[in-house]
Amino acid sequence: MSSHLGTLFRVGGIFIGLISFWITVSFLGVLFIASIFNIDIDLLSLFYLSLLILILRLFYPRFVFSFK
Amino acid sequence: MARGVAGEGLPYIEQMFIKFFLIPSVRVLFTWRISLILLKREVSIIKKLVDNLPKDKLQQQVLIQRAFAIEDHSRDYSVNMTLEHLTIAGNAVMLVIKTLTKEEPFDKPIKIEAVKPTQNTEEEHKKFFEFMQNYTKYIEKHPRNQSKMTKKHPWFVEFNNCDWASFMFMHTFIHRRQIEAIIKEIK
Repeated sequence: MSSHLGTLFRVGGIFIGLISFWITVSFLGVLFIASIFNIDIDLLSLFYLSLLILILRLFYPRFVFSFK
Repeated sequence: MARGVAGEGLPYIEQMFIKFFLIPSVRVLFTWRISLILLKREVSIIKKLVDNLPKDKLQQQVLIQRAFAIEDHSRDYSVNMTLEHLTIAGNAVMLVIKTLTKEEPFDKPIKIEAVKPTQNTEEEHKKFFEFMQNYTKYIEKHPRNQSKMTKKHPWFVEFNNCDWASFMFMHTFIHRRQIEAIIKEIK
């Protein structure tokens, strides 16, 4: 494998690792809040809420799609 | 031995990929703390690479294939030249972060040619690790705010202070890969 391709794979690996980290953190966060407030929540709703938190990251703490 | 011109940049597709995909992805996924943890990891990998190389090989220049996100002009570095570049660029980035954090404009132009290595001395690797210690201490005490003030990277877009901290990791990682390619050619 060339160094160029190897670097691209490693960049991909870093991002997959971080995406997994954030999904896990969001998932655990939502699970924790649901248990604190005694909210009955199924696994699918838990997943959607975690995804919503991830989507919020696109806009907070600042808008990420700034290409100037 | 050098190819290309200093500061001419990356191939168009690579530049657009970084600008429109990698940079927004980094902004979503990275925080100050994550950038610092990953940077420390890179520094420890570089330390192992340098420690395992005979000292007389650190200044040996070799021509390598162009690595991802590295311009053609930088293909003929030695390990110490790469570390010299990381130190020069790192000092510049740290100054930019300090300035933007105070919400002050960074008026001095950032030129790729100005951060190229010129010395290739025996001590470059020591200067690099010393700089990284200073940088790490600075970031550990940093308020970790998101500055509104930005400074444009010559090849990409306007970066705020947090973007520059993430860039510090990505830049060190890219050049660590270059060091690995250089060592592979030397051995």
